[in-house]
Amino acid sequence: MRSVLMTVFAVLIVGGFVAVVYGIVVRAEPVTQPIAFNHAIHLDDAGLECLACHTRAATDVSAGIPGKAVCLDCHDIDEEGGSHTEKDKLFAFEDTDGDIPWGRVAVTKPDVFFSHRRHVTSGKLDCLECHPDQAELDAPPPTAQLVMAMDDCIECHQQRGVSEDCLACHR
Amino acid sequence: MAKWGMTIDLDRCTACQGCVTACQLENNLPPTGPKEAHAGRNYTWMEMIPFEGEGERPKPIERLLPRPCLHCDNPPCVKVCPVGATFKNEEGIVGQIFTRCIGCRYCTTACPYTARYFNWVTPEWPEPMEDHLNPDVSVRSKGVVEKCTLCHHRLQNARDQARAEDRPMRPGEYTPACVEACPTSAMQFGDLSDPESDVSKLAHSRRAYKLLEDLGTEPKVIYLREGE
Repeated sequence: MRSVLMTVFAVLIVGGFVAVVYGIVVRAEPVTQPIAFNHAIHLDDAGLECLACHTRAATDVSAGIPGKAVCLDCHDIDEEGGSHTEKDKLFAFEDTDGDIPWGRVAVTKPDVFFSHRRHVTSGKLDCLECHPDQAELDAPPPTAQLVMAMDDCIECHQQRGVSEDCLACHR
Repeated sequence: MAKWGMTIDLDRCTACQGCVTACQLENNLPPTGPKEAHAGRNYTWMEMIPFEGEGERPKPIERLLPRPCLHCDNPPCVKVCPVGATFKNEEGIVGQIFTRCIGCRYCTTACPYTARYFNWVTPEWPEPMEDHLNPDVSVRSKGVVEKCTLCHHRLQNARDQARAEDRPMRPGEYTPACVEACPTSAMQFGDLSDPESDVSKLAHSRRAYKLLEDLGTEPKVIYLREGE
């Protein structure tokens, strides 16, 4: 019995260590977003590209979360006001000074440097290759959908024959 | 494949230490404070090493030698690291993965140029500075060894920009912070494998010499002797 308990304890310790060391994206605390944004409607029904709203993904390290100006480029309070609860939440932000207080659900570890620009612009990857479930989301997830480990990065880099230099990601 | 290297012209260097400050700001090196400095625990990836120059005055002229990590082609530090935290990459840069380092300090002992530094304390910055750290570089924790990376993040940024514009990277687009800050252009940086590059020509000039050359470390930071 004691050896079984010791084994379970050792597995937990080692497993926890491996998860801490090799996970590059860690889940932040569960977040309730101010608007229940529906990715599926925007991608499937409206036929939008990811980069239409996440404009920084092609030019910056972080893909960013769109501000209200991006939403209000398409949505018009005169045409759509009062028709839908979530849209009304968006229009409520229209005349306020601040932006929509989206909460961040995923953060990379401080020693890991992932650049969206490098993968989208240089690597010419489609967003859905790394975020396959995003197109089917009809409500914002409380925690990160995508939790990547270093093995996932290495596997993809090996398949595509791109740099496996440690300095490419760790500084 | 490029082989990045640097030349430092000791005739042009005025020991202004602009390179030291530029490096500290670029790479998030904290000021260590008087207590740690007194204990000899200051660390600067680019350090001014005092040495006695030649001269016939009452005593020889005191000189200062700017010394980054020399990014040896045969690096002694890599051979002694028990956990693979330090390595030489394909382009000849001796890298250090700070979170993999266990702080054994074998590498600080093995480096004949004293170019590696152990973090004795948790890094802290005075209040206005802590909000202005370089987001491209991590803040290293207490208990790990750190060193110059030849501003590798600048290489990545330059390469990203070139790829975004669908063109090859131009010479001079990737320049470490110390070289960029040098007011007298004493430091030159570039691809040593390109015989036409300025740095390659300087590295093969009559004035070029390598620090502690007889050790066989083959440094890629090459000095140009003064007075000729």
